Amino acid sequence: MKKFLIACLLFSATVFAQDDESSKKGPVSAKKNEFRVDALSLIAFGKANISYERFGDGKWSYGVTGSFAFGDKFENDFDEGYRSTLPKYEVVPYIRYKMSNSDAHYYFIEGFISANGGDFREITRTDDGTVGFYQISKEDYFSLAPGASVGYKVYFADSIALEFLVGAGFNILDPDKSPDVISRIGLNLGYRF
Amino acid sequence: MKKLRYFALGIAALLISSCDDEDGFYNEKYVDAVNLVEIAAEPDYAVGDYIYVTADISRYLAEPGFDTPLDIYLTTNGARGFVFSYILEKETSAGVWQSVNSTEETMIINAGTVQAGPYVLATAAYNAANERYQFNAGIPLATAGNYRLSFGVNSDATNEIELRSRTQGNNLFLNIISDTNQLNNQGYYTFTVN
Repeated sequence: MKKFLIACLLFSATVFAQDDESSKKGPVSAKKNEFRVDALSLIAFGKANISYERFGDGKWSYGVTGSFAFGDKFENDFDEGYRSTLPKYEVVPYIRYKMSNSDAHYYFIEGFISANGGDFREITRTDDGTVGFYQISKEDYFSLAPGASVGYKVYFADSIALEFLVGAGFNILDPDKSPDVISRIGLNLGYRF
Repeated sequence: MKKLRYFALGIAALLISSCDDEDGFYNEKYVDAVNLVEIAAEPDYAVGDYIYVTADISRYLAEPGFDTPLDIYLTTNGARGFVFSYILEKETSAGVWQSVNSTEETMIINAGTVQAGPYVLATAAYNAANERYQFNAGIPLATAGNYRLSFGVNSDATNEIELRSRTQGNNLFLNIISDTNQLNNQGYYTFTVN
């Protein structure tokens, strides 16, 4: 996992070496829509993470990310008691601001609200009037987490997007059951059209 | 390049901070009890005697703070036993203690099972007939001298013994912290074999 991240970062270093001025204006800005898939979540966390982004004429863009878990890892950890929550789905509307003039590669910041839900488990004592016993109780949770991220995006062949994204939000609903922190980390591959 | 470093730092920081701070063992439950394990203390010990340790635990355990007893068998979904450990040491010279090696063959095992060596890993086994978890075993005292017995290998606890359920699958692990008044304030039961 570490090697994978380092390799991606090194790869991005070669991209940084490009001439900034030559890529400020280009056909990328004419394309207003983009779909992305998060390779990092797919490989590392067993989560399908698909995003859509709509670009305006200026530096603002907006979009939505949909995510759901399909891998066994989190579920096994949950069943074996290594975690108290099992996130199952997440819908993240976001708005972004481009930090530079270039369309070919740029940093951005974003604000988002994550609507997320899943399973929560706790140990409860049940009393049948004669004896008591402890058992594992499972319940659903749903929460909203406002948060912020920073990221870097670069385009190849004016259409292929590679995007790094890191951010975090804090759940404000159902705080006893939902995870405290929602992370938004991604290595997205996308297509802009 | 500086920006790249900041970005990498940001990723690392977030990966660390995004770890769920609630991570832990959510299949573990701890409860308190008193005197579940006892040393069969004798007024005198002679070479050839045995030092016995006993656990006789009802399936229904009084639990502080609750009116009804705790069903530890049901809680663990039928755990076949509860495990605890103890170690017997002999004073080889003034203030120097060495563990007494035991084997399953040299020990007398009346109830439960052991894995013996420099210390004893004891299992109080469930007896469905009387609905109790039971252990009783003795270590031979082969030579004269000063001995001491303590519970929990590398444990700092001086007046409590921890028993852990032999739970199967993803069911609850029940840890019973049992107070004892048989140990001195260093956590030892000391005795002399003549």
